This record gives sequence, structure tokens and C-alpha cells, in this order.
Amino acid sequence: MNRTLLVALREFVSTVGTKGFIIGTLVFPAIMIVAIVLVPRLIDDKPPRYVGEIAVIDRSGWQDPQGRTLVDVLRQAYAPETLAAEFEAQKKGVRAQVEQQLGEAGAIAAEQMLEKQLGELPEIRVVALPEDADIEQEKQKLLEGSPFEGGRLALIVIEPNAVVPGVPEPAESAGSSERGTDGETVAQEAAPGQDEADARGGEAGEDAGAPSEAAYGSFRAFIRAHLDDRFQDPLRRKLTEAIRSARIQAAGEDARRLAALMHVQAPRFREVTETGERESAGGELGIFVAMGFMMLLWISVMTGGQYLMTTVITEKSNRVMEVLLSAISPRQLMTGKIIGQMGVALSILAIYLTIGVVALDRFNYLDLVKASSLGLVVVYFFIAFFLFAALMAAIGSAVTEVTEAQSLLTPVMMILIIPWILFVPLTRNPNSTFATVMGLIPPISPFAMVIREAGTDPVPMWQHAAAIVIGVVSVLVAIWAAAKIFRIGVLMYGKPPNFKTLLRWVRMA
Amino acid sequence: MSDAIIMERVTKTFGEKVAVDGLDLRVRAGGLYGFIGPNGAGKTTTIRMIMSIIFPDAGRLSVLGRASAVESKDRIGYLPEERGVYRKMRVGRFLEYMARLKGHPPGSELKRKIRDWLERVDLAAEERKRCEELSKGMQQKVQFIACVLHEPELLILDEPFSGLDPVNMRLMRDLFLEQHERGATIIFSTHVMHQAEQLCDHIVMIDRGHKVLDDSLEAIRARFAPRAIQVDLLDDGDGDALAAIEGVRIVERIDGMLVLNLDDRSDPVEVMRRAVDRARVRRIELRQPTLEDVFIALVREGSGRSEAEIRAEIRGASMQEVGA
Repeated sequence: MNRTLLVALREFVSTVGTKGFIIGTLVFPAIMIVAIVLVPRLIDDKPPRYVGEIAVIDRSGWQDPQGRTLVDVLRQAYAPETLAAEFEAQKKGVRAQVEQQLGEAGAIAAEQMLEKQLGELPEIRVVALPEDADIEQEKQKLLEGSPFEGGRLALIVIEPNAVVPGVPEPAESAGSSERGTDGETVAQEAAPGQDEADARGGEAGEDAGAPSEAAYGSFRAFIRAHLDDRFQDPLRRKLTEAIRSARIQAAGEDARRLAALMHVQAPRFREVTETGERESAGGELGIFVAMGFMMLLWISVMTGGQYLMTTVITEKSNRVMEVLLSAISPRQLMTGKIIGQMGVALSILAIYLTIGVVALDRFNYLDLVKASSLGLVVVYFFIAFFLFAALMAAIGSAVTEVTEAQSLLTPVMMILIIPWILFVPLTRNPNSTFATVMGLIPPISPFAMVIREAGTDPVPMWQHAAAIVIGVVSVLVAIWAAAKIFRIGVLMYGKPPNFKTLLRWVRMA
Repeated sequence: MSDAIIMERVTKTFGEKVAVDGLDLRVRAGGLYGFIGPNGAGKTTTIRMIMSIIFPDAGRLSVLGRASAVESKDRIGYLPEERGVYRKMRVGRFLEYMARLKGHPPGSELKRKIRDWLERVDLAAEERKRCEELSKGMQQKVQFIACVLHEPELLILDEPFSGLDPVNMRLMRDLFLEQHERGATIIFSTHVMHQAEQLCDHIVMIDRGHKVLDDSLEAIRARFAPRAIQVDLLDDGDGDALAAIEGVRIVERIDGMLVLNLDDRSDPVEVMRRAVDRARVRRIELRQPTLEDVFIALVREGSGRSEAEIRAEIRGASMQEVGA
């Protein structure tokens, strides 16, 4: 067997066979799984189960024909049966949606998650306070007791004109509230037989100059601090719903008929693709593909490069280097090691790429990734890998200990951060002048090009060709320079050189 | 016999420092050569140039009939001064890898050879152990096997005994004498001169990049015939009486004995007779110069440095060999 390949084979086997590699390679997908599956479960622990009261000062004075007040409506909305029914409906909805996308197993998992997320049903009493109750004094009760043991959770003040339009009241007083009530009663009596527009017109006529929209009041709500948003959101919704339906009734409309009129079925958009159609995720998913491409390139290049540098340093500090050099030339050794680590990086790339493609296929998003893009990713991988491998081999050869490599590594790491900075501007605008230029500057070029390739706006073919030509040329230059540094560096012990010294080595011999 | 290595006016500088300066050297095929000289003399640089690990700035070099060792690496076995093993590799696999890098075909033949060698150096049980589990002496033996597995025609050993205990030192010596008997040319470099004296049939002395001596051990002994007499007196008399003998240049006291250094014209036998006449002598003999003495004499002649200075340089093995 060719000796360069012998070196490459040993390099590959001794790297891939270590526990470090196996763990390191699996850690990334594991983190992804944890992030996607476990973290939401941990974060979205079930909400606290509140046991307490919601106090309502209803100044609207409204009653429906059956004599039910807003407080009664709210109480109904918080009745255990209603809460249970809502819960079931929500579960069914989620289940239907998930089932469509993920299948039976996914739906069941989602349902379990949801069940957990919704937690146990709270136990909430809705209490009516007298209209003239002192708000400041009632607020104090929000500070007393516990939200889990019957303490007051919220204090709601429904304004006099919340249901029936009236003159907005600047000041709060028993008298004004009194007047408001009168006004409402009048309005309520006037309303039947008239349509909504007439009622508004009449109201506008009554209170000349007041804008009609401002005539409706709302409610004020004071709540205990640190209440879960899964309590707050439903409260807000239930209150607005109660007031809305009261207004509709007060205006003499049929709530159900209005609801039917207002409700327009708005299905999700369906994307039509070559492989079939699916529900749109509501946005451009290309950004994830760009991120995926860049991560793939980045991780495989980084891992391969790191291993390369470490093994070169190890061979030096083990003093096995000179033994090797008695059998093969430094060039053969470096080439063999780079090829071996290319195998390592390629394995990582293949593992992650396969996981990615399988996942996309599973969710029917495979069309986001063109086969030609995958081909380009592999081409750019080779360019990026050889560029960084040459750098890492040179750095590894120049130092004796891993710690000494830090100062030489810093500029390399800074170059490797650039793709992350470029990520957003390049995905937003893959064909801007900036993106075009970045795609042609050697160390960053392969990263920039895969980010651009993943965008919606196709990158002109000539730019790919130019980036590849520039890439190949820069790889040749980098390997040539690295070989020179390597040849001198591998037998150099002692004080680690700086970049100036390395450049001198390149010019030497 | 032909020459295994020919070096003509070979020069190598590292920055300011001239490591090897216009070295001429011929190593006879089948010879057992000792490269001696203090640390930093240029031995390792010379050897690395022979191995084509580094290249001379000037001069011509031929190894086993080829212009450079690059073309004949497979026929050379090299045990460098800076030697190591892959710590995580198993001993058997390491030896197999090294042999294959040297062009040995893989297969059961190679495996059998490795086992035989490990048995000979008493490491048969270690074949499946990782190299890092071996002691330093054991690792050194493994490295020696690695450089002879492919049965090289030329064997270069740079400080092969450093760090070995006496038992293993003897084992190693026997092993490479055996390689010599097989017909291999051996170059052996050391700063411990008496080792070379015990082993080699030809000595090359290097000091500060220059060759100061290149001759067979026999010829050296003949050339540096004893010019000193060593006397052990019965009573603790001083050497005044002896210093007065005609032909005695100076009397020194070394290790409790009196050493009479003779001038160039005197006859040692005549001086001994007179010494016995003048003092109560327990023991008297010709003092055979060691390689170290020869080295000092040569270097003193050439550079004018003092004897103590040179001796300190040879023995003070602390100075690091300048790396390539």
C-alpha cells in the first residue's frame, strides 16, 4: 500500500476509534434532540393550579333578558364544566393538527404534552362586589392570602359604558355611576327595534360632539403579582367575550347570527411542490436550510481541523515524529494526515447530512434542499476543509504543546466566526454586492457560498464557478505554504514561533 | 569495500549558528562507526542530514549509493535521539505500522517476525499492551525492534543507550553487535566516549561542527601511544623526586595517583626504570589514553582551549542538542 495512504488509514482509524470521537459526534445530535424534545417538557412544566377568587365591580348594570349580569356570564365561563370542555376542545384541535403532520404517534405525544401543559383545572370563584365598593380598599386584598388557597387573584372594574355606549366619565364617583346607569337603562330600552347603525347615530345625536367609538367603555383589571400567563390570557379573553356578547344583545342583535356573519373560515395556505402539497409553515424555511448547511460545513471542518492539529502536536511531543520521518518525507506525512482527517470530517458531514435529509424527508420538506445544493455543499466542504486543514497542520507542526497553539489559533478562530456574523445579511439578501464579494474571498468563501445557495434567490452559476476556482487555487497555495512550515516545524522544539516566524519559514527553502 | 555514506564538504547552518562546517566523511560498508563529541557538536545534525530529514546548505552527500536517503530510506534503520512511540497504539500494531512504513510487506510473515523479536527482548507478553503501559526501557527496546524489522543495510543509532539500565544496555549492545555480524553498516553516536571505545572499530570525532578525528580505533591507539606514566607510591611522598627525572614534563595528581607526563623525546621505559630507582613504588604502568584524553588533546591543539574547559564540555551533558 502507498505509504501516504497507510498514514491516512492510521490517522483515520486512530481518530474515529476513540471514545472522544464517538461521544463528540453524537453529542451534537443529542443536544438537538434535547433542545427539541426535552427542554420544552422541562420548561413548560404544568402551570400552577390556582384556587382563588376573581372579584368584579360591575358598574355597567347590564342584565340580559333572563336577568343575568356580566358577573354571571363570567362565572359561567369559569365553571368547572366550561373549563373542562374548553380543555377537551383545545386537545382535539391540537391533536387533529399534529396528526395531519406527524401521524398518530406524534399526535398522542403532542396530546400528552398539551395535557401536561394545561395542567389541572383551576378552581376559581367569581365574586360580585357592590358597584360603589372602594377600589383602593379592594385592591389591598390582592396582597393578602395565597393564590392557591382561596386568595383574591384579580379585581375587575367594569366601566359604566362598557356594554351600552354613554358619555365617558372622567371622574369616578357614586353620582356619575348613578347617572351612567340611568343612561344605560335608557339606551337599553331604546335599542330594541333599531339596528346597530341607528343606535349609534342616536347616541351620537344625544351626546353631540363626542366621537362614537370612544363612547364604549371597557374594564380595568388589577391582578396579583406573578400570576402565570396561562391564567392571565384566558381571563382577558373571557372578559372581552362576555362584554362583546353583552353589547351585541344590548344592541338587539342575534349573537349567534352575528358570530356566523363574522366568522370566515381561514384555512392554512397549502404549498404546492414537485413532491406533493403540504400546509405552509407560514414563512420561509430556507433560513433553516442555510443554517443547516453552514453548521454542517463548520462543524465538520472544525472537528477535522482540531483533530489534525492535535495529532500533529501529539506526534511531536511524543517524539514519534523523527521516527516517522526516517521512513517517510514530511510531505508524505502531512498529506497522509490531511487525507486521514478528511475522512474523519467527511464521516461527520455524512452522518449529519444523512440525519438532516432523513428528517426533512420525514416531514415532507425534502424539496427545500435541491440535490445540486447538496453537491455544492460537498464541493465547498472540500475547499473549506483543505484550507483549514493546511492552517491547522502548519500550526500543529510549529508548536510542541497544545497550550502553545492558542496564540496561533486565535486568528484562525476569528476567521471561523465571520460566517456566523455574515449569516443574517447573507440569508436576507443572498445576491447583494456584499454577498457576492464575501462569496469570493478565500477563507470565508465556502461558508458564504453555502449560505447563499440555501437562499431563495438563486446564485448565478458563474459565481459558483468563480468561487470554486478561487477556492481550489487558495487551497493549493495554503497546502504549499503549510508543507514548508510543516517541514521545518516538525523537528523544531522549544519556544513556539509567532506568525512572522512562520512566514519566514514559508519564504525559506 | 564500497562506502555506505559519502559526505563531501557538507555544511549546515541554523540562523547564526554553524552546526556542521565543511564535513568530509566516508563510512565503509560493514563498518561499526562511532560518532563521538560533546553535546551540541553537530552529531545529530550530521545524522539528520544523512537521513535526509534536513538538507545541507552546501556540499554533496550520498547514502547507500543514492544521492539522498530519500531514495534509500527503506534500507536504513534509524533510532533517533528524540524517539517516541504512539502512546495509545498497541505494541504489535505499532511495530507492524512502522515496518510497513519502511516498505515491509504486510502479512503473517511480518507478524511472525514481530513476535520473534518481542520474545528475544523479553517483551512477548507486552505485544497486546498499549505502548503507554510500557516502561521507558521497554519502549526503547520496542523502538529498536522498529528500526531493525525491515533488516536494514545501514543502521544509525543516535545515543542508543541513554536512559537504559546496565542489564538492558548489555542486551541492546548484543543486539546491535548481532546486526553488525549480519553485515549491516552501523553508525552509533554518543557523547559518552567510553561506550564507543568498547564497541566501535572506527571513530569519528566531531567538535563544533568540525571533524577532529576519523580513524580506526587501532590506529588511534597506535597514534596516541602512551606519553604518560602512572605511579602509585607506597608512602605518601610527593612527586618532587619524580619530577626531576629527565624527560618528565610535568607531574599531576589524578585520583590519588601521580601521573608523569613525558616530553616528546623521552623513552617511557627508561623513565619508568628511573622512577623505580628514586621512589618507593607500589605500582607503575603506562597510562593508556582514553578517547576522552585523545579528544581533549586534539581539541586543545586546534582551538587553544584549556583542558578543564573541554573536559567540562564533554561531561556536562546538560546542553541541549540544537534541533533542526
